[in-house]
Amino acid sequence: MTITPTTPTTPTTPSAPSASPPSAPVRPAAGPGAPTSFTASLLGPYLDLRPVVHGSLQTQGLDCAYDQLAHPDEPLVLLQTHPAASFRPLVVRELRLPGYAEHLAVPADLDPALRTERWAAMVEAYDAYPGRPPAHQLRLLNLLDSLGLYEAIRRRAQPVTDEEIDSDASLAAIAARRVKAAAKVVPGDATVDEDLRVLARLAASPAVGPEGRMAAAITLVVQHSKGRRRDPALARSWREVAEREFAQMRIESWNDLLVASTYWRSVSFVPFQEGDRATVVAELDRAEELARAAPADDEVQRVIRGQNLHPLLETRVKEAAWLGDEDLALERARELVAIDPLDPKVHLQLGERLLRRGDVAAAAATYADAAHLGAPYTPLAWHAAGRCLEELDRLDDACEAYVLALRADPGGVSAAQRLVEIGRRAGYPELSGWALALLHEHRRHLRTVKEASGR
Amino acid sequence: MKLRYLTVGEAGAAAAVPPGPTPAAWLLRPYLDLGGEGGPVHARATASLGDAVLDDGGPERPFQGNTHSELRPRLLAEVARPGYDVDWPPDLPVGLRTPRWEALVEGVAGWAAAPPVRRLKVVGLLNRLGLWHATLRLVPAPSLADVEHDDHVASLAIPRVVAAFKVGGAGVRDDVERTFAAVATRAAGPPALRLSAAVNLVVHHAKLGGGPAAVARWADVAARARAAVVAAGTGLEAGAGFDAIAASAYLRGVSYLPFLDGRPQEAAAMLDDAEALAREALADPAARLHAEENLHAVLETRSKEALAAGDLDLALQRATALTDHDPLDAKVWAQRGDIEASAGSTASALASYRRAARLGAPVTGAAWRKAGTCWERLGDQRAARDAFLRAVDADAGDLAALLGAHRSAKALSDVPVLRWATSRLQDLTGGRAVRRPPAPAAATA
Repeated sequence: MTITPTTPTTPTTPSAPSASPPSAPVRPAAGPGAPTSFTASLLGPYLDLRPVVHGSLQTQGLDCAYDQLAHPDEPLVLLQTHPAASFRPLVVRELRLPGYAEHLAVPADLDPALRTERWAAMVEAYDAYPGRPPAHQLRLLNLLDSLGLYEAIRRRAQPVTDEEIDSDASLAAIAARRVKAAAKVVPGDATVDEDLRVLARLAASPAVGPEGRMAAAITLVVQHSKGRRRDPALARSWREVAEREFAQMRIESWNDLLVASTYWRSVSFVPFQEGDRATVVAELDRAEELARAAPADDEVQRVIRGQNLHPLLETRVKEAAWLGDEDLALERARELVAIDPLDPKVHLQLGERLLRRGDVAAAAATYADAAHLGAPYTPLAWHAAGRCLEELDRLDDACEAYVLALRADPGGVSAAQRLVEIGRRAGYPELSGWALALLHEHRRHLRTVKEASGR
Repeated sequence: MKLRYLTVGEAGAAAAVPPGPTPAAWLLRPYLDLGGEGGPVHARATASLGDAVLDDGGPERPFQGNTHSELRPRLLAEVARPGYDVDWPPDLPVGLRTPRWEALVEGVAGWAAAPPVRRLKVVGLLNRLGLWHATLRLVPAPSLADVEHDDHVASLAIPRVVAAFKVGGAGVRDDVERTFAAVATRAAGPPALRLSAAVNLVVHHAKLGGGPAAVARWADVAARARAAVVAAGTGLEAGAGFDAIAASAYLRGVSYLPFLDGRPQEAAAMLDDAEALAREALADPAARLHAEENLHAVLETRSKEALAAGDLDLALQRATALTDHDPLDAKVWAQRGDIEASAGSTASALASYRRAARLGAPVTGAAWRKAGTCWERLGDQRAARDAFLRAVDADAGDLAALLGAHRSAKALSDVPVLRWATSRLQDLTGGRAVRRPPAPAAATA
């Protein structure tokens, strides 16, 4: 099969038939179980790799990742967003499309009748992986990474020795993908330690050049700046490694601008932890300046630029809040929504800022906006909207928000607890009763799990 | 305000049925696995029929209502758990079965050797669950001669034609009418069976435009069968409550005749009596659930009667009595919303439609669409857009909801939704022009 590149985002419908004769069965255009809702139009590419019609910058990255597989001779650009391993399962569950395999391990697990041509091409590339050169293999792994199919990466990516990391840039990148995927699938000390070990090896690899070593070092800065591996001294020492490599880099292409922006954003974690406000602001200013200087002359540049600006502005929202400047935090949160309007997370962040300022009504509407954009934040967003609506004494609306939260996540303890109370107060005993039944079921399930584990 | 969100995550989804990912899945659980006890009257009736199959001792006590054709598919779509999507009871995975469902499986497996009363119970339950194909699989198409001479065949013929009609629709209408007629005009056998078939034919012809002559003919047959039932004391054997229900149901059915004949006062008088009998039956604890079902049907008819007479206030009063009587039934809230909307009470209609949508199948999509129209009238385009999106989520083929989403997205300059709605409309119509109704006029609450 020939891998067909993506046509630059023409507004075709998700179910529009392909212009060329399909070489694999084409999914049904509509009908029971077909992804036809608005949310499905946003998240459908995660189901079957259909071309992106509209969606968040993260979703748009799927087209770029697929094109990189389809054009193995084009330069590789780095996509910055990596969905959680639970992302695709949440999409399948929330869209109530069980046919699309909630727990899909490898691409071939998708029913052939539901595969698009692109998905079929990915299956073919997955099967042909062992015979491909590492540089091509990496492109498939990048696509699987963009889809959140980390188990597939874990199974397909070959073990890479430390010597190979030192001698071959593509194999070094494959090693990084492999351990990162393992840490996503089986999060725990062993996989995280192995991820850190490989990153450290990469940060010293002669094969990957200063940019590759710097990229590994700044990842280590971030890893040691938060979470269970937080270690300010280690973060500082990795920053020093990153600084040395960065000093050797030349900014020559548009991609270099983004790499440099990422560098400044990442290393600013160190002064942040040390409480050095002026340096944090200066380094993030520099990161933003570089991010905004990146061109957006074509579709790939636009997406990659946006994928860089997005996390940077997220960081800057947090920075402004940290500095106590809520006006600036709100302004940046609003810009983030303008840059990536179909990403639910940015609406959640805006809602949080509005809530901090006491604008509960606007926060409620913003949380609802987030919920309408679908997985993975739908239940969280509806729950937050419900809490705001309660505060506004709009109990009917609050009940509806909690019902929608539980529809997206029947395991939502918080939403069920609120609905038990608000359903009663609003005069809907049936909703309270249902929520109570869900809570009883959760307790029963947790008891069973506890007993089974012998605790 | 704390926004901490706790979830048991995937475990919750795995345990989603029961009690289900939506209120409807909990309230209508009997249709999924014959579990649960609460819910609207029709769901409790279904559970009760499950009990009758489980406790095989008592007599058959059928309910009047036929399950809405769309209830089962729409409920299954809401629940989205493929294990429950079965046409044949033994196909439900063992791990999902309740004792009542197990009894139904046994009833199906032991069909060949089952006595007539048990067969009637099993088939009655299958129809109630919306498992029409299972009924057709168990009960062969009877010959009219067998219907005439064999009480058992005649008894099973009625649920069979109901199932055939649900599956085949207008295409089997002649066959349905012939079979009902053969049962209604039997020379011998239980008069209650003849009465049931005759009343069904009155209602069938009245609703499907069979003409006054056909309605009159079958009303006459029904009257004679009713007289025979009373003379034989069949109802009284069942108890006072069941007798009152039978009389109420008879009056409700045959009231179509004076109504279609242009004698509304006579029809109203019959329905007054039907309602009085229906309320009287509620006092008999042995017949309580059957009486609740009957009163539901009477109040629904009475609301329609008032609507036909152009008396919106009375129609609303009766629709409100119905929502008071059966508040967990989504359909009655949707009906009440329709009357409130007709009366120009947009805010009240909106509240009723939202309640209907929350209660769920089979009206989820339509109720959200109508709620969307109310919000448009009230000038809240954002809420209207969200409601239309939920309507399409529930029913992907709802063109009116898609048009509503298109309208509200246009008003809001919401390009993604506008683009999606345009694309879906093109998909569904093949690019043909869709007659777009004008946006609803603004209204005051």
